Amino acid sequence: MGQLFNPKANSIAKLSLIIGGSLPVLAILGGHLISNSSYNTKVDVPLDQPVPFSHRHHAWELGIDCRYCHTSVEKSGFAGIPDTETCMTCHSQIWTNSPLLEPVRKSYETGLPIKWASGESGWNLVNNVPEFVYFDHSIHIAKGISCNTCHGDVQNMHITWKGQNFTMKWCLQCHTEPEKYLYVDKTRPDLTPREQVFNLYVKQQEDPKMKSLSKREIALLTGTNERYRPSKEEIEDGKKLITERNIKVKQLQDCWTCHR
Amino acid sequence: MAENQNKRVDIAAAQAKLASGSSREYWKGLEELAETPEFTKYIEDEFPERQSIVTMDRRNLLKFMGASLLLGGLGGCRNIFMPQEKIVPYVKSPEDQVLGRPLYYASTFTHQGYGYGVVVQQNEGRPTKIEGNTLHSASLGRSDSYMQASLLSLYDPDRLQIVQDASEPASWDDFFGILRDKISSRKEAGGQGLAMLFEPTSSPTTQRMIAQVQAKFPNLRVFFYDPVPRDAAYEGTARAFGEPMELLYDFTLADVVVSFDHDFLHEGPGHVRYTHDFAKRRDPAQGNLNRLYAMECTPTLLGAMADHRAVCRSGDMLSLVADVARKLGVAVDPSIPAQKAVPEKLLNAMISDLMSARGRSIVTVSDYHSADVHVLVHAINAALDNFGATIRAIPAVLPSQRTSEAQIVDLIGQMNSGLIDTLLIFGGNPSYTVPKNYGFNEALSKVNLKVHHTLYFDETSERCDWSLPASHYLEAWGDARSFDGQISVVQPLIAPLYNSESVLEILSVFLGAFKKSYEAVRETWKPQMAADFEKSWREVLHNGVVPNSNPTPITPAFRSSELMAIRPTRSVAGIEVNLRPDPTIWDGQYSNNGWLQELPKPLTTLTWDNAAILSPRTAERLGLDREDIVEISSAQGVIQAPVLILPGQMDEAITVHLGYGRTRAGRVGSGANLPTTDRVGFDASPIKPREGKWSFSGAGVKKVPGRWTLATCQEHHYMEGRDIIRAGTPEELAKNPNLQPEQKNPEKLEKSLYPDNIFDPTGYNQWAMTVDLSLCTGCNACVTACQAENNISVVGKDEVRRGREMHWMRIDRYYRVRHQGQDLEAERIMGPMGNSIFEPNSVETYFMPLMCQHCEKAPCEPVCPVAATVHSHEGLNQMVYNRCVGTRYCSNNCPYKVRRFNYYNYSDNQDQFQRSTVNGVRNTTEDARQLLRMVNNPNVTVRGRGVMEKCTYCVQRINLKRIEAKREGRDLGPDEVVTACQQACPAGAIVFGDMSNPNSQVSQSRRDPRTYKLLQETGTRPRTTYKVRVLNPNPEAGQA
Repeated sequence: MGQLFNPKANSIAKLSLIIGGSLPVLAILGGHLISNSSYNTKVDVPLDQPVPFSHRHHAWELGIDCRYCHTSVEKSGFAGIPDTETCMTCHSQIWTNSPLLEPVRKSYETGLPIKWASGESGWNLVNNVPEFVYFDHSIHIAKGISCNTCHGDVQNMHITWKGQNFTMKWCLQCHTEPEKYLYVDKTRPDLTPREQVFNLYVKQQEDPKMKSLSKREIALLTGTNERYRPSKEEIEDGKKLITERNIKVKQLQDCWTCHR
Repeated sequence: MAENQNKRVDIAAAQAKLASGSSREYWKGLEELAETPEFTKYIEDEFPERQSIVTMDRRNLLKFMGASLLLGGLGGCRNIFMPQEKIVPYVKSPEDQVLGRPLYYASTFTHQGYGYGVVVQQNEGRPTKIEGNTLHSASLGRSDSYMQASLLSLYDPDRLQIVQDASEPASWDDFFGILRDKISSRKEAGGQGLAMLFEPTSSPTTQRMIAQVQAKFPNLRVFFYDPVPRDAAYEGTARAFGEPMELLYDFTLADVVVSFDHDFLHEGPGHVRYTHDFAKRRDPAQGNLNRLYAMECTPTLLGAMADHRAVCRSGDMLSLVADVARKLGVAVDPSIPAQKAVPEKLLNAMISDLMSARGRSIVTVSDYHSADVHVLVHAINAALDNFGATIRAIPAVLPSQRTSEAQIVDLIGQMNSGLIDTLLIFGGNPSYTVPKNYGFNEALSKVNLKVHHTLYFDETSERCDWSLPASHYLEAWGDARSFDGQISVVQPLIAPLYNSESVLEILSVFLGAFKKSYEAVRETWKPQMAADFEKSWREVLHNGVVPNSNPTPITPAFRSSELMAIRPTRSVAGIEVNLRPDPTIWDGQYSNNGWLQELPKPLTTLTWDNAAILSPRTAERLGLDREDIVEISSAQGVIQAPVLILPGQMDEAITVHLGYGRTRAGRVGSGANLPTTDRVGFDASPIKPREGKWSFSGAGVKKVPGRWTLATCQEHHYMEGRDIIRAGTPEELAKNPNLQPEQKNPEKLEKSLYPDNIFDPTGYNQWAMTVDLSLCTGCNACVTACQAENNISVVGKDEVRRGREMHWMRIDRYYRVRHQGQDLEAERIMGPMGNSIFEPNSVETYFMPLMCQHCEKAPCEPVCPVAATVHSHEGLNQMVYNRCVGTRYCSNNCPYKVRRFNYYNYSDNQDQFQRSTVNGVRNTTEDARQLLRMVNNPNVTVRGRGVMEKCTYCVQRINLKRIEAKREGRDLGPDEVVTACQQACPAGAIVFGDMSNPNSQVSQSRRDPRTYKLLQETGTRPRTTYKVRVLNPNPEAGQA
């Protein structure tokens, strides 16, 4: 009777051990990659909308203030999305025949929400946190956190996408070290933290190439703040701002600040 | 002994325990006292009826572990599996709407026809919370359970949704067409043959329109019927003062209050206001304590609050009141026998108290006693010079020409003799509420056209040709008057969810063209308001109340001529039965409201059922055990009811509540035909005596085979019998202000197992709460308010029975039977044992609201393996749902038993609908779920299966106020945050605020020497503190 296993069997056995051992590792690694990819997080993925609204055109090229449409951003937890009437304040006068705006005009005439060509209503929600997270826009604006810190370079998006992945880990970067994210325009110390937020967009409008802007300001405007490495001096300034703006850093990490 | 072991309640064992002195001073119920094996087994397990991991086999365990590991990882990929969410903008934003911020509107809730001013919170068009209106005299910003729970009825998916013509869908136009034909064909005859049946209403607009309809059709008949009418009160005032009146009591001025079975803290049109006023005189810090004597036939909240409580059969109430009157010098018919129910010594002490408080006392009686008793009570108050001092009067608010009884008998007679061709029933449910032996349903079938305008398709709608959906009060305009005549507006907050119209809209058809309720209400007020109507109208809408609309109260003059007309009642031997409306679902109108069904009824803590309430002695005599079924018969009919044994209940007397045993209430409330584990009560009305009486004697009581499972909550969340209630007289408190038991090592009291540096409080608001046991009446308003605010699920009868109710707040009920010492009078009452659960007069009842204590050193925190419960810098014990994996260790380690676990997906499955009976369908439809979601508070997470939850000190309210303050760049005010329970509490027993600020109300309240901490010896340092209940007994009375 010959051998049951030929010499190859040794290699196969070893190989299968290696594969067997690495499978869970690969699975975890793969899972991690998938969950962090934009396939899952939807970051940088432009979403179709019933009307191809361009933030770049309105907020940048025309220079319309964020608050013209997102009216409750300073007053309420919810920033607000504009009603049809807001669109029609301008579009009853300009682009009145544009076929792209047909759903808007129809909504205004019928009193029904803006509809897709398919007849469905409802815009795709771009920025979303889970139901057990209670994010409040107004307090972030009041403490001088720039819109783009979380929403990315919105004024350069034609079709809007999600700027950040909104994981808890991502939120906690600022909730543990707010000094790295707090900013003040030293040339305009008269402005309140809230006014600082919107002043930055004015500065960008005045200097579109952003040559006179600091690296910090550019990082804020392009929504790349978490990659920006503040200098020691900026961190010192940030720490001063924490006291000035009465930010209680330890409380920012209390669970019930965001979950309840 | 063997027999005793099988008993559910072993009364003899309980009494033996009590007599031996080995029991605790305060105990929760007979089951605890007797320590029956069933009870011991039940409380030994923290989670009764669970699946234990020990009993699971290895393979299944591995399967579950593997599955949870895999599924746990998938949570990170939620966006892949979750559908893309949509957002729908407005076309035109509503005025004043800031998205994400609530709006508040004033409106009026009505109960028994009387108005209670409310302020309703609205989130993006959805009414989400109801609070009292501070400008309204009947609520003063406080509320009760009915008011709070009326919100859920708005979204009830079982409401009648479409016009039905004999169960076929139809339209309003169809109906109005038929109605107009009827009206025009009967116009010549002045409306002969047309009739309307209303519930008594205080609404000036409805009353105006009814009067106009009657003027236009002089032969049209209008009837009012309420199964719980105010007839005795109106008849009593009419006889005593010449016209039917509402009596207004000022409890803030009364030093001595005597109540003859009148639970003015829980029932009657002014109860919220009265609780508020009464509480003002129960806080020793705020001035002189009042003294309350309660003489009642069944335990009530008022009896539990009383300094002296004595039981008295309803049949003996007349002689008791007459005796009191006699002793106060009122000339009463001498043939009325002397009373024997209340110990003479107590009665004499009460009389001397009353005599010394002339013009500073109040004597009241409930509507459940005859007009004779009312007249006697008015005579007593007149003799004590109370009219004009503590009691004033205004003309009757409700229609009061004839009694409800007379009207319904008249209506039935007219229907039977064919005088009525068309009957419109507005609201109410007479087919169910009118006792069967009156023959209402048989008479109704003789009417040609029967129309029911109703919130629900109920027993009456079944028998009518047309069923018309009625608008909820948050959907239509109207108005109402309160107990003191103040007028307020019913303002809708939402367009009708279904195709419904209001009463006013239907009445308008009789007067000509169809008119919306808004127009009708404005028409009433336009002539009566200032020249600039639009401006004053807007002001009325803003404030909710019509300014200066209270009639000026008068001092009624007592006509003593009436006294001699009062004759003794014929006393009948045998068991007395008292009928009462149910304390949570009333006459059945709130049957389909899950919040009210699952609300533990005060004193009995029963949910989802009514019961025949018996005293321990009577139960022993009849050989009855808890959950046995008895057959109770009267001259009128027979009912079958489960037995509930209640200490403090009158001997040889049974109390049953109306409102249950519905067959067509909706999926929540119908359940008369289910097996007893799921059954929802029995209909007690067949034995209701005639002539508007609420009790009768000589009932037949017979045990029938079977067991009827009852879901009571009191034995749940058992605290191992540790003494946590403290109560004492002012003298006792003078010696030991918080009745702190003597400590061997007082320095060890605050020692704790847990480390000191759990959190750093410097620079943060520190939240704390105090509960004053002196003020708490046990009314449950806070429990319902908490349920509404915090999206707390209803779980259903079967789950409650398993101890799985989800209420974050509970009101614990404790009993005490005091040792009588050398008191001879007590010896006479109680016999040689000295103290006895068999003696209803010796049973004292105490209430304690209990919610998460927010311990600074919380035992729940270190045992959580995933840090899902941790401390915040503001001293809150945080519960993080998204981190919780459901080990339930925290609940195991909580000495206060305040944590609740979601065994099922209660919030989404809407379990109260699961035990459905309609068409035999046993599930909740998606439509129903969608609708019920609308009631949720958007600022509180809806919890799913497998998650622990508990009181959060309303952290959503704290956060919103903190953010608001920070946005405005200021510090949070000390009393700015108000929790839902605090806001609802009519007595002001709950105080919440920032204890780091020495000027806050809560800091002041904590400095009260009556303050004590629950289970202080465990070293948990709770943030919620309690204040000792102060009793103010008359030393002359003996301890009765």
